[in-house]
Amino acid sequence: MHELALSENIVRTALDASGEKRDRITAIGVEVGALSAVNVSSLEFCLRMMLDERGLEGAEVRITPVPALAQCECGSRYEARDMFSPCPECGGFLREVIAGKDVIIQYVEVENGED
Amino acid sequence: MAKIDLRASAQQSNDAVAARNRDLFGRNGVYVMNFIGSPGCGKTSILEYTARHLDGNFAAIIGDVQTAFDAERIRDCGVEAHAIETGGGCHLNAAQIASTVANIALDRLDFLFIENVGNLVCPSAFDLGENIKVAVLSVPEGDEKVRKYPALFVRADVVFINKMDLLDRCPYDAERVKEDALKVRPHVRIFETSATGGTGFEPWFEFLRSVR
Repeated sequence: MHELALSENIVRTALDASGEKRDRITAIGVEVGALSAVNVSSLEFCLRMMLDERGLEGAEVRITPVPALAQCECGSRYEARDMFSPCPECGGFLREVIAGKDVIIQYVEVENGED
Repeated sequence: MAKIDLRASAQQSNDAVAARNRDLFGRNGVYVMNFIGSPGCGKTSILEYTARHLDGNFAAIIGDVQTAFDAERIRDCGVEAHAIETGGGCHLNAAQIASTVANIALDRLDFLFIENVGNLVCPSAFDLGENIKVAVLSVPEGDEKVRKYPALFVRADVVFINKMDLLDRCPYDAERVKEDALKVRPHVRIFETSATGGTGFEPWFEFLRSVR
């Protein structure tokens, strides 16, 4: 439900970073963590809508899902497909999630101009 | 094509305000808790019981889609309470907290309770500048909530299992809930309470005294 708020922020960040080329954005790259509480298809829908509203119908939305990464107390680092499964090395649950909690704006792509 | 690398959080504008809030709370020595749970799980009742039975100076910010009913309940306990009506918004954000705390004398407070909009999904994604996130579960909701909403429980520092007085009337495996919560957050503190019956609060009060 909060994908719209996130999309506003993502598009604003992309526009700011593009400066004078903001009308020539061709793609936005976004990483969505498995534990970010964000629905990828809703985010895609909201981003599409916001880009279209700004006349950026041609800009591509590229979303990459990022798995949750856990760091276990035993030293092992592994992809936590299911947070309710133990560490594959030691069988324990004493771990911290070190990636996959966030939504990250990776890049914005703009047309090369001769200006 | 030219690619501009950003590697920026999609939450960066919210995070920046949350960081300012956190700094403000720290400078004023107020401990801030962000309560997140389903509608009707007992968030307000837990705050009421705490405000009535624990010594300390409290204030509360209560988020709801509509009405200030819950804020009024907290005021009835003699505690300053501010309502944020989101008008449909499914979570509180850091800017709403910043503008509300501008009207609160933080320096006289020990604790600030923030009661988020009743929702187990969206509020977990927005940092408000709090010290801890408190997830509130209740027995009638069923014992699969940690499994169903892991994003909240990965971030929660404290979990309440409330309405424990209904355990004999609901099929609910509290041990399973505790096991699940500890799996996703190994150092989480779990309190089993009945806010209307006033049971199970002493460990919570001890925790609050220890962080004050």
